[in-house]
Amino acid sequence: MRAKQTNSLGLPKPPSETRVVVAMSGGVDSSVTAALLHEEGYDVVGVTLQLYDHGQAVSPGSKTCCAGQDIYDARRVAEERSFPHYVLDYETNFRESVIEDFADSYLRGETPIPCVKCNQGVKFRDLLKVAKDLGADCMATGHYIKRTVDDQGRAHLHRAHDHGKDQSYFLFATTQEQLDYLRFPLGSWSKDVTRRHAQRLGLLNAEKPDSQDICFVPNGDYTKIVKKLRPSAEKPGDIVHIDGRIVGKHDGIVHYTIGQRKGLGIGGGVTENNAPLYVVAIDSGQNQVLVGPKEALARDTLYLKDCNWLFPDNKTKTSDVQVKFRSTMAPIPATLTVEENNRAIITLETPQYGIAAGQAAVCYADDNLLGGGWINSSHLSRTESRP
Amino acid sequence: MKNNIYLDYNASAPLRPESRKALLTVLDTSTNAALNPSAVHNYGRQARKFVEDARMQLSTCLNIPPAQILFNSGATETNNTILRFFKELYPDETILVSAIEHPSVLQACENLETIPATPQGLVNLTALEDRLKKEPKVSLVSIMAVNNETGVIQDVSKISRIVHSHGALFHCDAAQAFGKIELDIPETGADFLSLSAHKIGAPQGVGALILGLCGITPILLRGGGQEKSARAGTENTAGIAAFAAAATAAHKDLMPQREHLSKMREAMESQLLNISPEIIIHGQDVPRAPNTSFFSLPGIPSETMMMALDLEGIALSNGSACSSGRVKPSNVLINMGQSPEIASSALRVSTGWATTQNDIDAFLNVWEKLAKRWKK
Repeated sequence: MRAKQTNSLGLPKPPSETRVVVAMSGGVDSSVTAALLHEEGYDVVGVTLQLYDHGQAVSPGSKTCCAGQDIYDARRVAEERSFPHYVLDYETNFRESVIEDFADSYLRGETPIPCVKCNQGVKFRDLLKVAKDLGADCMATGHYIKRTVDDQGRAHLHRAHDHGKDQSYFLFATTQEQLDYLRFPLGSWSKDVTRRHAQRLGLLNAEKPDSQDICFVPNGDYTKIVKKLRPSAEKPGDIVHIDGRIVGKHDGIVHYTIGQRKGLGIGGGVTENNAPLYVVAIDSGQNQVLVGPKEALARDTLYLKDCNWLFPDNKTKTSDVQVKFRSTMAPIPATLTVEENNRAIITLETPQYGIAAGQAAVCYADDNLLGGGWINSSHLSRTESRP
Repeated sequence: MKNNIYLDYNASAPLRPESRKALLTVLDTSTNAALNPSAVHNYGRQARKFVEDARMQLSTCLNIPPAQILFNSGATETNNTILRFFKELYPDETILVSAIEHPSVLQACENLETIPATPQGLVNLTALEDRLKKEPKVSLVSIMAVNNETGVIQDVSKISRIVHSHGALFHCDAAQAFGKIELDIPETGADFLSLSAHKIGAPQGVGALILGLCGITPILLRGGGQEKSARAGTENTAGIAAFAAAATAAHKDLMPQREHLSKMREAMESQLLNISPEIIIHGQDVPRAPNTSFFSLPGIPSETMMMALDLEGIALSNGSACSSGRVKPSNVLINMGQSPEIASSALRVSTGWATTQNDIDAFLNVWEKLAKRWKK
């Protein structure tokens, strides 16, 4: 049986004696998380990470010692609700763990997901250590993901109640040890509920719009950052059809992603029926963008590396799962085979289009997050049966 | 249960009662008619009396004629005023500063040349002399009297002699020295000195540029004629009065205070070493201001220590927190040749007029508890 009397964070002591570090981004979600826990009487410590310098990213040479608007907002919320708040300078960690990797990933012709790397390498590793050093009993974030604890005391993750807001895809790399320490109070809520609480609490950022883009990429123009960090990403080269013909020129592989159809700049007449062409591969070694018909994008077997699994080790090696390789897609049926050295193979029931190396494949059993891994390579084993 | 202990005097000192009284006296006099020292009328005269009385009091503390004191907003303004003025006045000559100066010196203008410091935090005087012998000519040397992070005291009189013997002028940022160590201005031989009121228990936003005898008056703000046209802008009458009151109190207390603070520090450092033998105390083998202890606990980041102590009600810093609240590795330690690891795990205890042994004991109690946690 579970421990006797526990508080709302599942700990056996009163809120006032429970210290919880809340990772505050300056957005509504984490602000509400912190303010609500504080309202409940927890010993809340807000922490905001300074991860990058927008001035530096946009116009090199500009030197500011000022935190951005998000950090300002987080501090103001904490001041307003009167709980302690600190800003940690993680620019170096973030640059090394996230931004450099992001740029390199494009150079390899991959499509990276920096948010996972940030959770994995910065928030849930370095910040979690700080929380422990501050004597916190747990760390909470404003992520939309549900955490439950079973009768054996083991913590599990589930897709958020509001599937539209679910962030479980970005949290697949959370380890069991981290999960034991983490809390996600918003997991059962929809955004509306969060906003209503923000208004009720009078948070000054209650009306702040959701962030859309990758945080360190201003206006969604990731090519600008990649080009600045890795000038070679802009080297012009050939666009080659998978049948071997050179069909056009590209102005740097950074401008292309697997599955892309628009903006290839290839005129008609490449194929007999003028069927649309897609980017099917990026050969960074040859500096080539490979294009082909939609069928050439079909994949049903994904090879994963650097996997993280949240089920006990003795679980069977092959299991039926649902998988997502993009956060926004609906999970699709597949078979998962867990291999040695944190590797795994995923066999999709039906082939899918637009799967790129560098993306994460994340597995679920219904709403239960099982974990996932990074797509290393993929191929098509079966020929698709066409209607 | 939570403490309420302030050990961050080098950043800013709590308001002294004498200073508060002087401040309120001026403020209370200002409710009927504004106290503007430039005004011709009766209220202007009243205001001017506050300012000139303050100048007189301060001149006694500093052992210089009142005419050599120019009031402004503090040491950051003074540092900027002097360095920028010299850059403009002698564009082809060099300004030399020590590598461990305050950012308001290091970033006051472009193309400053730096003189390194020893691992103990003393400015390398051989390097200073060597550079002064070389071209291009040096117009001004700026070296602080007491370092804000380490508390290490530089031999200002000696530096002054070296600088003058090579035909340059000497500016000394004395913001951290004033009120903590004996500061006889003529004896320092400095041509310019920077002072900040809030470091000695007066309100923030007041300070002074002290002139030596070289005859040059550096000016930054123009257009108003205040402070003999050397510093434009309506005087902060209440702040200036409060500054002089704090200076007088600090001057009076200097000797007993020094004794009291250095005794407490000595005991504190030996107890700290008992609890955490791996601690490195910076500048321990050279003269330091009696109120400052700067040490590193390798492996524990400064911000972690500061946050954990703050959550226990102990306020201190590492000396390099910027206005956004971000904590940076100590630039002073880096420039003393210490490793980035040591520079990122430094903590500063700085005491002052209201610090008691109880404050230090409370800090040590909390430290002992935290050190245990961090060892895990």
